[in-house]
Amino acid sequence: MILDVDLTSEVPIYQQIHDRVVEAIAAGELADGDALPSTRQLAVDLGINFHTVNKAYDQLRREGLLLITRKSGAVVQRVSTAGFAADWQARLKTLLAEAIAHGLDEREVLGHCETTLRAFEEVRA
Amino acid sequence: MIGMIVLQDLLVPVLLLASAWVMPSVAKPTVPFGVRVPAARVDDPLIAEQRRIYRWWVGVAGTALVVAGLIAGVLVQQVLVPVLVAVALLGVVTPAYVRARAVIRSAKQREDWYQGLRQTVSADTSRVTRPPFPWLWAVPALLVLAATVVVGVVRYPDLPATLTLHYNASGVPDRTAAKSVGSAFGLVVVQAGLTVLFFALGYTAPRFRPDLDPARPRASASQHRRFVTALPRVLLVFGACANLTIALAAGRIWSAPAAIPVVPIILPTLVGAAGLLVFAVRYGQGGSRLETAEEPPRDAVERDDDRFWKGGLLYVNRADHAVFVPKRFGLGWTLNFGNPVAIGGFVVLIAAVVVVPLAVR
Repeated sequence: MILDVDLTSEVPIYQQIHDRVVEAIAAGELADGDALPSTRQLAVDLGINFHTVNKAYDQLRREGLLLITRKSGAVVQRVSTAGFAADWQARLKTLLAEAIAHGLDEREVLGHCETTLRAFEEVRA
Repeated sequence: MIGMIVLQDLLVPVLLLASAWVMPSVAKPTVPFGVRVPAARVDDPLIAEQRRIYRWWVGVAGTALVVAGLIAGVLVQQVLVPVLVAVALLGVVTPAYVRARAVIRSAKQREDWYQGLRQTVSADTSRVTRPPFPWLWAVPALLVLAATVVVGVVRYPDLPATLTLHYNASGVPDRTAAKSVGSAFGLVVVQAGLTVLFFALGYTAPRFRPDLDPARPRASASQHRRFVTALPRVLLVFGACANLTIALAAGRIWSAPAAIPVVPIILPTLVGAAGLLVFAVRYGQGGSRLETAEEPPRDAVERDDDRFWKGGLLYVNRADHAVFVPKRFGLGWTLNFGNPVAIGGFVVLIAAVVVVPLAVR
């Protein structure tokens, strides 16, 4: 997988790393058992601080998407975590509220959701 | 004899001149003369013109210099002539590089080439698996080393009480020492050290940071993978060539001829260096000259990291944990002089270069 970090973006770098990994898992580019580079290696490859990578990996671990062991490093491993759905729904509520607040049409919003989900499916197939 | 002098005076300067001449083509297209430019500007006429001026100047002035050196060499028959020509070549290349760099830099600043572009860094997470070490390619270097040791051990009892350790460049003995394991095998130790160095370089190079182009990340990741797969092989073959030169030099100490020409001894190393040059031109820095599949265009550009590059050659970035970073004007990697580990390693290396010859002496 190619991991992009946009240095001119307002989004924090650790958040970008986290988001790209989650997207790659959704699209099937990363599957259970796939290894990610060590925090040090990824920090060196991106030319950023390794605490930043650590923060992203730690968040992914807490969300039950990444298994971090001393022996085999960071490995994609999806385990269901309690409370994920509630947390996700809360964030989705904010995102949808943003759409409504900015005057987006309801059908348009649903259409975007549909297209995005289909796109993940397509890459996976 | 004249032919030998011509060859001796020509080989090194010609190799240096050729390297300097091809360097703008070996460097990544997005860092012409050590200035980072967006991919869309790679074919800018201004950059193409700077490349042309550089090649003309280095080609014409450099060739004139090499020819002048050759004539001087034949006339005065001084062994220092090729060395002086090599230093003078640096004086020809440097202003051409500095000028081209300054012109491109000022255009980049004046026209604000990075205005509104998304500066991105890309990493290839599949780099977690690296190409296996090419053990088969290590065989020649190891064989030459082993053969040198065997020949040395076999010959040792029959060696004369005084060994000629050094000949001056015209092949006349100028340093001798009493026979001992140290004086007879000094060069073999250097040979073993060099072999270890080339193994270490070949082993670690695939771990160093790639310089991926976020506009075409998959293509540049594949180029980089092919580059770091080939590089250890090239280094190991060059190591075999260098070992052969040392083996010949050691053989000269052990067989103690009255005089011997220098050229046949350095020839394997020069052939190896020519091979490196061919590799550089075929692959380009980071494999940037290799053919790849087309990739859908993206709006991301490489990060403008000019401020960390002093003169476009020296990288100093304290916030970067990388010890080795890809070179801008040349092939391979250079040190991050903002990293304490890199500075420490550099000091140790310089110390070794100064101390080892003194110790061997």
